[in-house]
Amino acid sequence: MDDGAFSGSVRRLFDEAPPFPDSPLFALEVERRIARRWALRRLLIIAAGVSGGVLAVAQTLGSGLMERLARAPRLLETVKVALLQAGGVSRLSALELPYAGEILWLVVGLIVLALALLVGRRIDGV
Amino acid sequence: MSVPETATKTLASLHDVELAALAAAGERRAFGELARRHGAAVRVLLRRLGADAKTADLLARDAFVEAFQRIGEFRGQGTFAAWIRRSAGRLYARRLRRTGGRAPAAAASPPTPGGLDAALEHLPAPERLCVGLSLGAGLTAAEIAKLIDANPETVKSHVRDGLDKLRVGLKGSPRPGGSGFFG
Repeated sequence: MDDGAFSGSVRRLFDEAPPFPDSPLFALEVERRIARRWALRRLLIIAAGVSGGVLAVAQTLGSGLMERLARAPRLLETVKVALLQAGGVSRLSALELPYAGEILWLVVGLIVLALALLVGRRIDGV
Repeated sequence: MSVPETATKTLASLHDVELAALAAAGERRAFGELARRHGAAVRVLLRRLGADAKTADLLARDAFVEAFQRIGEFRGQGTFAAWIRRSAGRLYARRLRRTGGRAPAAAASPPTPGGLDAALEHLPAPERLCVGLSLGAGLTAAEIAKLIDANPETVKSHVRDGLDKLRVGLKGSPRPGGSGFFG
């Protein structure tokens, strides 16, 4: 038998695999490991999204944006007029708006969470 | 959660290429069916490359999990069986190199007729690895050389020497329909 034919025969021997009685169990374990990986991946994506949102809010508040907005006269005037027309506020300052920081945190956090969940679902569905 | 019997029957009737397409779309049970069909081939290949039974099974699971991540790369050119064996062979060689592990040493006693598995046990580790990666996993000499950090000519030499020893080791092994391996 020449070398080519012999190596072909050996290749065919490598192709032969005896049956394993636990093959279904092996396949199930593969599926489980894949499912665990995907769950962990989704969790990491959501955590990254929330962390990013928290950082963004912290940066926004730390940069003095609220104070800069408060000093914008035209914007302040517009807000004052709108509130006066809505119902009887005599003095107004953006800095005195109640819960401004907390509301910003809440809104941005919810948006980031929603986006992260959306991304997670998209990746799962791909 | 158990797979409904009808779903399992449906998956079992699909071709490997169809299952791979479903798996690429995220259907994990389709990939589970591929693992059921080809798990044995991968597990035995890893044993033949030199891994012990426990390591071979762990690596085989890793190979399938990795393959699922890259299932989009399998486009039906060639069989899924060949594709997954190539992946498993590469994974084994990479792990061996990373851990600095050595394949088991060749058996001291001369080979007795007993088929491929027995004959492989009597090959020196480098020859066994190269023959297995080449003829079992279907990798080229260049690919094997890169994986094990060797010269392609060295790989070819190992394969040649390994085959020469297998020629002796397999001589007289019973083959279905013949009196001997060369019958």
